[in-house]
Amino acid sequence: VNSGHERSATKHPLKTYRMLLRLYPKTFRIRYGEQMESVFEDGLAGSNGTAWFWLGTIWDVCSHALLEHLHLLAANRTLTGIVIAAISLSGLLNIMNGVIQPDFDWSSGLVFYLQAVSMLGVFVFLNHRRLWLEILGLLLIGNVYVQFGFGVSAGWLSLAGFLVVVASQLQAHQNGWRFDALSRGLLLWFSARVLELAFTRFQVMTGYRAETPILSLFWLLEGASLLMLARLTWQQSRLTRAG
Amino acid sequence: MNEPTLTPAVFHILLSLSDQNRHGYNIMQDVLERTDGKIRLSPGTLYGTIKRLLETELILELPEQPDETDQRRRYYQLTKLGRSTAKAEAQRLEELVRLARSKKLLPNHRGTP
Repeated sequence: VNSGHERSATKHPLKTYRMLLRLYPKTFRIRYGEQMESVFEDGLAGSNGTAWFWLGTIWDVCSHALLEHLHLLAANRTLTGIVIAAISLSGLLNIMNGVIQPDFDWSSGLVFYLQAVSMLGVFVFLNHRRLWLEILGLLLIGNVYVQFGFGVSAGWLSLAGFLVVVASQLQAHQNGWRFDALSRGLLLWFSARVLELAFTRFQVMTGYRAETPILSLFWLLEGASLLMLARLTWQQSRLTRAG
Repeated sequence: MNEPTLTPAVFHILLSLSDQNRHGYNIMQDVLERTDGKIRLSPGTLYGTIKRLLETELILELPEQPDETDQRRRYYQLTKLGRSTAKAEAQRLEELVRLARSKKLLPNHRGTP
């Protein structure tokens, strides 16, 4: 297998390796990046840069970069504390809502809660920039839900989301995490999904049955969000190449 | 409670630094030669492990670099704590081998089938 990408990698091996190293946390890269480049060049000279050598190198960087990010995340007690506090707080407030409101819909509440918690988890790992857009997005999600009767817990979840986004932003700022495009795309997809859920709830509450074209609009929105994700990821890789 | 065991990568790096100070690639080559090519440390494993060994003060980075051919290289040295940790691990492994011999999982004399 000798694709164009591989030819480009073998033409500028150190440049390619340096680009791969950007997957590591910034602090790790600053401390060990040059040493790793030196070891890479020694290894390259011994292997003649075969396809196996490159496959091994890509696997090595990707797997260990992820490990280093996880180590940093685990070591950041402030962030871990904020995440746990935010999720516990929103869970507690959900339970309180259930106790106060006799007709509280536990099943859909649980689904929404699990989705929100998974989204927050994804943010913690992937978030990097566009903080204000993300905060606005989360507030919008919360507000839409408030309008459709499922509100108080959604509002608190929004607040929890806000705290987590701020904390993950601080973490990402320290570590130079590169996959912000992915996080933005996921936010768009999640927003569209929540809008669809909110609309379904609106139908249940009002007895209004939507025509297929209206439902298609939401599916279209979700599809567009996924396309946006692909476009943002492509832009991000271009920026990385240029940088 | 027993002492925590070392991972193979940690133990091999400590062993490698037990006789002389080395830089990263030199450690990789030493481990490869010593294990007859069975253990090949990748740069990711090597520097991830070195980072944790520095944090736990089992090794230290030499302030002056003897290698003038490549300024990017950094040399590492075993600390007292690192040496005693490696020694404790070697004794633990020796004890395990002794137990295996007593259960006849291994021959009693080296070279005996």
